[in-house]
This record gives sequence, C-alpha cells and structure tokens, in this order.
Amino acid sequence: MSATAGSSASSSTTGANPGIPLTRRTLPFGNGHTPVPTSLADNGDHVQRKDDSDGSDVDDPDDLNARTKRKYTKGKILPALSPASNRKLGEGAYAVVNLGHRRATSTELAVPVAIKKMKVNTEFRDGLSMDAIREVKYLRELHHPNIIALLDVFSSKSQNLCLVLEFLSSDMEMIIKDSSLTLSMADVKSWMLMSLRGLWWCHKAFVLHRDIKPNNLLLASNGVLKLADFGLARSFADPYRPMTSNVITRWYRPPELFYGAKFYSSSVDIFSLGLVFCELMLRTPFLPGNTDLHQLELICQALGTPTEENWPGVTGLPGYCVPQADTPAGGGAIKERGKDFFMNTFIAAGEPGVELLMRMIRLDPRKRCSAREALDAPWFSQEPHPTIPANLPKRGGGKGIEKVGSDLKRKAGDLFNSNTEETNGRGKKVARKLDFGGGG
Amino acid sequence: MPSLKSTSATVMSAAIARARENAINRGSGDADEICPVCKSSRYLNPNMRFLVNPECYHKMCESCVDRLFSQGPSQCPVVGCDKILRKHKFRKQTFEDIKVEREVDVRKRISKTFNKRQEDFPSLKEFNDYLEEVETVTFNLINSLDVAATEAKIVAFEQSNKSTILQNAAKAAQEAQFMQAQREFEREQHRRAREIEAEAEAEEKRDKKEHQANLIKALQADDADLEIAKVNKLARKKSSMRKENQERRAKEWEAKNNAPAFQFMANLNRQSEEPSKPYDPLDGYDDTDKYFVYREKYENPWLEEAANNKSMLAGGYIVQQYCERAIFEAFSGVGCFIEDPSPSDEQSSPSLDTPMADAVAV
Repeated sequence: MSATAGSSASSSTTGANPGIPLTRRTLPFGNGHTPVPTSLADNGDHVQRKDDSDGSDVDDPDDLNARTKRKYTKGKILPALSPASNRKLGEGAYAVVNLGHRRATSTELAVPVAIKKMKVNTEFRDGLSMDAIREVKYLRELHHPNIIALLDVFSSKSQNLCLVLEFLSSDMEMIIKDSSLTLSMADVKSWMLMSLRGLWWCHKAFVLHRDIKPNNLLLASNGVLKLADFGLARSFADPYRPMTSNVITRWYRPPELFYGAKFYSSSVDIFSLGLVFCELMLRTPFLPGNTDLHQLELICQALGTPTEENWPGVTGLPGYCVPQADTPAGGGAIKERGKDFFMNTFIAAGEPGVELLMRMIRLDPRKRCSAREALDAPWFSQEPHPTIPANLPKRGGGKGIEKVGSDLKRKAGDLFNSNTEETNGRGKKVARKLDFGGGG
Repeated sequence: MPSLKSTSATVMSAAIARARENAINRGSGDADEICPVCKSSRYLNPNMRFLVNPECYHKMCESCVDRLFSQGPSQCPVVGCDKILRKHKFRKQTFEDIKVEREVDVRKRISKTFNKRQEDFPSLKEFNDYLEEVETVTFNLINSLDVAATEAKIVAFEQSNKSTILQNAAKAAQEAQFMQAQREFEREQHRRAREIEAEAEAEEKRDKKEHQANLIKALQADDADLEIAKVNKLARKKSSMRKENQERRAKEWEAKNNAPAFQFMANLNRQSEEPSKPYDPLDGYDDTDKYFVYREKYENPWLEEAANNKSMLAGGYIVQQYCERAIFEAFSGVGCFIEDPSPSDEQSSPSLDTPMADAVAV
C-alpha cells in the first residue's frame, strides 16, 4: 500500500516499536510555515521531549516505551470527585477505550486523555487488526485542529497497542438527537465549516476518511469539532488499484459504492458530509435505509434516478441497478432533483446553503465539489456568520463522556442501534407453557 | 393425563374457581380483579397491578408481563390477538375506560404530527379545514375505520411537512419552557409581594404601639399639649418615611425581578458575537505550494487508460489526484533541513486548562 509523504517511515516504526517519539512531519504546504493554531496538536511531542531529556538512551525502544507508558495512567484526575467505576468509555470488537490522564509533572497539570487499547485480534493472529494500523498510520500524519489528535502510542504488557487520543466530551449525533437544543443556521454553518476544514486537511494529505457520520464528528468541551475514527481510512489509491466498495455507514454511503465502484475518490466523503449537513437541519437522518436496496431506493427518490444522462458511465458500474418503481417501465425515472426540491426541504439554509448542499450530494461523483471548493462557498461568508465554537450549543452535564468509545460497540461501517435486539430467545416462553389444568 | 397431575390440577382449578367466586361476591371489581392471562386474582395477591400495552390494550397483571416479555418482544397472550408486544411499552392505565385511554393515546400521537398552527395558514377557513381533516384522521384511527388509508395519509403528511413539524415542535417546546419560567417567575413575585406586605404591616403595628406609648409618656409630662403635638408630628414623619421606604423597596424589587427576566429573554434568542475578521476558509492554513505547481494534464501512457476507462471514471476516480500526489511526494522533502530546529521547538508551552483542544476562531 502506498502511503502519504513520510508515512512509509513512520508507519513501519509504529508497527515494530510503538512509542518511538513522533517526529513531527510538517507537510510542505504553505511555503514551509506551520499553520497558526498548532499548540495542541503538538502536545504529545512536547511532553515527550521533556521526558527524553532525562538522559536515558533515546534509541532503546523498550526503555522509551516504558517511559511513554509511565506518563499516562488510567482513571480520572480526581478520583475522589467521581467514582472510578466509569473509567471505561467504551468497548468494541477491536478495542477498549478507557478514560485516563497524563500524570502531572512539575511543570504541567494532569490532562484527561482517552486511551484506546487495541485488542489482539483473533482474525489477525500474526499482527494487528487493520483498523488499528489504519488509525495509527493516518492519525500520526494528520495534525489539524479539526482532526482528533493522537498524542502517544505505547504497548502494554501483553503486547497490546495503546493509542493515547485526546479526550473529547460529546459528538454530533448527541447534539442532533438532543431535542432540548435548538440549532440555529449559524451553528450548523459553524459545524459544517469545521468538519469541512478537517476533511479538507485529510484530502490534502491524500487520505480518504470513509466513515463520515455524525457520531464520528466529535466535539471538544470548547465546542471545536474534530473528525475521529480513522479505522476505515486509507490513502488515495493508485490508478488500476481497486478499493473495497463496502465502506461508509449505510445511511451516509454514496450511490457509487452501492453500485460496487472499485475506483472512487475523495468525493465519497463529500457525499457523506452532505448528508450530515441535511441531518443537522432536519434533526433526523435524511436517508435512513433499512437495507442496501432500500437505501438505494431512498437515494433515487431524494436525489433522482442515476441514468447515463445525469451520470455518464453509471450503467457500466458492476452493481448498477435501478429500484423497481423507478424504472421507466415501473413508474418513471425521477429526474435529478433541481433546486426547487431542495429549497422546499431545506428552506432554512437559504439559497446559498442549498446550493452548497446540492453540490455536495450530486449523484455523479465527478460533479461533486471538493472540500476546498466547498470551503470557498459564499454561504460561509454570508450572514449569519458561523457561531464561534465556544458559543455552540452543548449538551449539558458530563454525560457525553461515554461517547468517545461508543462507536466501538459496532462493527465499522455498521449502523447504530441495529441488531441490538436479543436474538437469543432460549427459555423465553417456558413459564407460559405451564398448564395448571384450568382448561381441561 | 396422568392421575397425579390431574388431581393437583383439579385442586388448583377449584382454588381458582373459589377465588373467582369470592371476587364476584365481594362485588368490588368482578372480572377485573382476575388477570385474564394467568387467572390469578386479587384475593390471592392483593398487590396485583394491571398493565396495558398501547398496541392492543389487553390488560394483564404485572407478573405476567415480567414473565412473558422480559426475554424480549413476543406475542400478546390473549387468544386471537397477534400483536407483538414489548415490555417497555407496558404502563399503568390512566383512565378507567380503556376506550378513553386509547383515544387519549391516539390524540397524543396525532397532535405530535399534525402540529400546524393558525399562523401557518393564510386564512382562518383553511386552518379550520385543516382542523377538520385532523379530526377525521383521529376519528378514523379511534374507531379503526380505513386504518391503512389513514396511516398512509399520516405518513404522507409527515413526509411532506417534515421540516415544519420539527420547527413547530421546537417552537412548542420553547413556548412550554418559556411558560414554565414565567409561571415560576410569577409565583416568586407573589411570594415576595406577600412578604413585603407582611413586613410593612408589622412595621406599622410596631409604630402604632410606639406612638401610643409615646403619647402616654407625653400625657405624663408637665406641658402635655406641647408634648402631644411633638409626638404626633414625629409619628406623621415616621409614617411618611415608612411609606417612602416601602415604595422604594417595591421599586427595587421590581427592577431586580425584571433583570433576570430580560436575561432569560436574551438567552432565548442568543446573538452570537460578530466575528471581527473576515471569513478565512482555511483558518490560517496556507495551501499554496512553494516548490511546485500542478499542471492541468500530464502526458503518461500508463495513465491513458485510466483517464478513458469508463467504469473508473463513473466511480468518481480522479486521475488528476494521483498526479498531484505523485508530484507532491516527489517534492515533499524539499525545503526540510534536518539541522533546523523542528517547528514544535519554537512553540510556547501548551495552555493548561484546555490542553487537548485549541480554540479556533471560525
């Protein structure tokens, strides 16, 4: 797999000795200067350097790992204030997330962190699971205020990989579902702006996120939105190198992936983010399909039926089909929706907002705008101006703590709250069959 | 049936029959007092509670609900009812008449969807037409007429009015919140007003008593008339002062009360601060490239096919991105000198209070 600049070096080191100090690689954009707001993305490096100065051999990986590990501890900063029992933030098929904190040093106070401990996967006996590798590989590359920061990596006693991530208190899904909050258009604009900036940075570093959805957009306590969960991310593919089309949570998956396209690009993320935009305005998922086919049907109904006219070459995709009702024979194909349709549904966004939305969720992936183009949309510079992050609506209380790891409960790309019902019905109706002979 | 079982069964059924008779004899709640599912009666279990599920409104006792539905959803035990029930939907009946209970539920549900307001309509007539239609839908649902058609109607309405429904729901929630706050505010005000009144009354009484005592003292003095005039003057002065005081206090109280009320209003429609700087799409980041420029097109026979392969193009693959990346990677080391201090060295130490997340102005 080819990687982004410098990733070949860093990813190989991570594999072998997790915990080698992160040598910060500034991407050579922007005439060599570092972006302005950086203080935090470098947090990890910063501490590390301080610790490295204690005179021990920097090159010894075991020693380094031990020192990195010592810096962090499980549990809350002030255990007395709240019970230690809710230390665990989430557990999933491939990782456990614990709340921890960086130990206070003479110069710095303790800092809460989320420690994601990768389980040794049974399927990959000889190594780490793909998710872990992807997450480490791309998070080490990407330093941006709107992307979750990977502060450190170390390995535990049992050779488990532990990622130290910055601790974020809530996510977009909670905000959308919290009906006690009213979201103004300025708030939506602010969140869209921050997520587009994060996505732009990923795409700029040639990384596809491939799982954009509200509960992967985490919110820091100061309101800043950050892209998280890079378990499905990959770098842009070389030509002729097929990628899997079975990515992205169904409700946010673009049509080309349903059609089994093996060659796609950053436009898949843009489509997902466009649907998140819809969801922010509607406060309910825009296209909540029950099955892949149903999802495709919803896409056709909402956006129009893909045909050769509005999407040249679509019929050549391996999985091309059109839902029964939408075939010219079965009821007539729906033309790609025009502005009127979106203006009716998303009137609150105003005309510039609807225009941006339409460019993000075009059927034909080549016609979708890029993240950079989206950022230049006039909508962002017009009234109402985006809310500053500190003023954005927040969920009250510390309930959000659990959210950082909750995405782990599902398999990657799976829908939330599906299949939670107990399927194990053993002994279910035992009592009911008892017969007291009342009937005969 | 084996004989042993049958004897125990007869004993059981006899007991149940007796219990039923008892219940009927007591006359309190004939059949109601026996759970229709497990036939256990209140006579045997005085703490029995009956629950209903809004799916089918068949009544059953709490222990039946626990027994049948704790393992997940299952069918209603009443013969001929094929509804699938879930435990968490069971609840206590509010109204004695199950029909009323059901009607209230239906109306609740309908009002959630059909929450348009008069101001959503251009004229009163249209609003009335709308109300009539809502009532028809409600009536159909309550009396189970054309259920399928009615449900379809509701779904259609919901689909076409998604955004207004949500907006109105939000509005209603806000109004409820506002009303609640106002009610509380008023209650507090009444309480304060009563307090002030009581205080004033007590003060007046005290003054009166003092005045009387003074009068008696004045009468004892040598120059009674003069003293009495003095005392009266003092009392008048005091009472006018008291009045003034009261007025001032009332005013102060009002001002104090109005302040939070205004604040509350301000919170309702909170205005975000105007950003002082113009919109910057990249928030301080620079996306120009110093060492290279991308060309529109690169001649490369290897890419020729990709650029013309229909299925690759239809999937959204962008050959240009590959070229950009190749160029980018080719130049990615240019301008980086190992001897140079790494950029993070020059940074000030991270702030302590918000260590992980830096505030970024939008």
